[in-house]
Amino acid sequence: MTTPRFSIITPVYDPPAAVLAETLASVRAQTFTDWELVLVDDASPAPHVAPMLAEAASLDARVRVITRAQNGGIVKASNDGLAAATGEFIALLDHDDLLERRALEVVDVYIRDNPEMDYAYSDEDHLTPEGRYVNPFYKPDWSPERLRSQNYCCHLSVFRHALLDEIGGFREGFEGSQDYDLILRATERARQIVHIPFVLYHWREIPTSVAADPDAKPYAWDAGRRAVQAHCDRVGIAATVEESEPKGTLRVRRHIAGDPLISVIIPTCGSTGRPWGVERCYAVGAIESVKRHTTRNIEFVLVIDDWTPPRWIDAMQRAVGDTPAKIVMFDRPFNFSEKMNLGSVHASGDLLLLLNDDIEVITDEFLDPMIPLALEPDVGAVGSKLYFEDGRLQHGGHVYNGDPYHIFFRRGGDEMGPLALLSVQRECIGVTAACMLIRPDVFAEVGGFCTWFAGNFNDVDLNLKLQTKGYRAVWTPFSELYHFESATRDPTITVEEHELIKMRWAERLHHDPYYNPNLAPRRDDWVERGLR
Amino acid sequence: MPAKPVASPTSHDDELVHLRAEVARLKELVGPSEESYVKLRLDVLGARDAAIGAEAEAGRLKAYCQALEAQMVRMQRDHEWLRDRVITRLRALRGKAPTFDKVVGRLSR
Repeated sequence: MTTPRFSIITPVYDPPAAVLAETLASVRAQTFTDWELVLVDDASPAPHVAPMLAEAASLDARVRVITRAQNGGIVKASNDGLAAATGEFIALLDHDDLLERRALEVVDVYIRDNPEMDYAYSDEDHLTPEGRYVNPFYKPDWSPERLRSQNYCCHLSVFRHALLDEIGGFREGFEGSQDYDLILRATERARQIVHIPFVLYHWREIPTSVAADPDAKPYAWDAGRRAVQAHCDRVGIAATVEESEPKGTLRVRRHIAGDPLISVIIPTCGSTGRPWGVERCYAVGAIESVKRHTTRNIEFVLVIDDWTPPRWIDAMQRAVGDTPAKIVMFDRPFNFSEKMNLGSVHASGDLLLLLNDDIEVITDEFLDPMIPLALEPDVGAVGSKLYFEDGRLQHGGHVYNGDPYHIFFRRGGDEMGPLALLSVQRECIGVTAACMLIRPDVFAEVGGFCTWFAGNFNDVDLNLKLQTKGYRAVWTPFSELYHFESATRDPTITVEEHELIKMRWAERLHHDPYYNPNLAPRRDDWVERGLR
Repeated sequence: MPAKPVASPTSHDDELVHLRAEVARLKELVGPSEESYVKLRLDVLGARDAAIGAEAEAGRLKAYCQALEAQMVRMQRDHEWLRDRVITRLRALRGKAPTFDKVVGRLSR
């Protein structure tokens, strides 16, 4: 007997007849034929189930039915299916969902292109009771921090069988999020993880499914939280995992080891303005708000243009107070990159907080979510959630899809974004240097900011340099600040700056791993790409 | 019971003095003043940035060269196809006009 390429495992418990029939038909309709379907009847009481499964097996030799003597729940049924499966790869299919006709064919192509692939996940959408395909979820490529925040991989998940044997299949105690737990454990050991940017799975919305109602299975959220907590414990992330908003998302609250010194580098020329109608020197406001909102060990490095009015320099010094500080005078024409680089070489901290002067901190202990992330060895930069003066979103991470953009720029500050994009901690291709935490060794390794970019795109360039060196950028919504963006300088992007960033990075500006080819290029708002 | 050893304030002071001396010695190694140390570090940043920029540029040029090579191969193939097609057509006309034989012979060489 030859081993099939795919074993599709489907635990079955009392699905409506019509729904089950559609699920079975979607498997039989696959254009790729080297599969087996392992149906595990978990002692369904409904009389139509057993005959339907028997008929499916009699019609197609690739369909096998395992009947459990007594109901054991999704984990036991899935493990029975796994034990009986003979395929090289395991695909999971719920008893009421549909596989796209070419699903297995497409997965097979990706496996052949990526021979070390141990786990793959595809895009998915929802199938309404009226038979409409809605809510497509176009996912990012592998994004471990996002997976810790929500089960974004979900359907269709395909695992190498040997890997599932190695990790011991599904675990009891995680019912409702058993697949989340399995994905977390599998991806910890997978040699290669592949995202397939095609909708290969249709998740049926029925009143009792999470696809239709997030409150349908409240126990599932706690199981998910415990799965991520266990994952953090296994991989050595010292953290407490909490349920977050919206439902189904999690917050990994990392613990901070020791008391690292943070160098807060603020370049300024002592600009003034009237945010919320009150006159202020921006840098003074920034210094005061940083001090007010952290008890961490900080030092200020103020890089001040030498033409700055002395009274504002005095005011900055007064605002700094007892906090250790270095004042570095800058005597050259405006160049943000040069000023930050100069500040970095004067800093002595374990971490550098690159901060614009037109900033006002909102969150108490705003550095705490950022510090442990920045200290992770493969993290290059950590960014926070920034709002305009009027509360609209200024920064929710970068997206580079033809041009560099801030995600959901100027949208409502409380918008969650598609699939809670703006509510979860996650990787993105870059974060703004208006508030960026970075290790000094990493900053130095990539040569700091490129001084060709005096005003704009210096952070885009830095992020891309970090990416080429293999570092991840992580954005957190749990550290919030106001950014009176460009209040202190001319925000116009020159043609030269645009040409320069395109010349320097060419194709990289078109391939954002945390975007999706099904979404429209040159947009910041996750709009579906038109018909091609 | 013997008392626990306690670090005296003097030992901290000594250490601080020692560390400051070490910093002074290291700074001396890189230049006559703190400014040159800062400048050196800025130069290092600039050099690393330039190296990454050069790598990116090299990659871009390499890709450009590969695209040109691919274009050249395609054009050579097109050229050969066209030449074969011309020869075939001319051969079909062989004997019909004496000058064609000369042309075909020349092209075939």
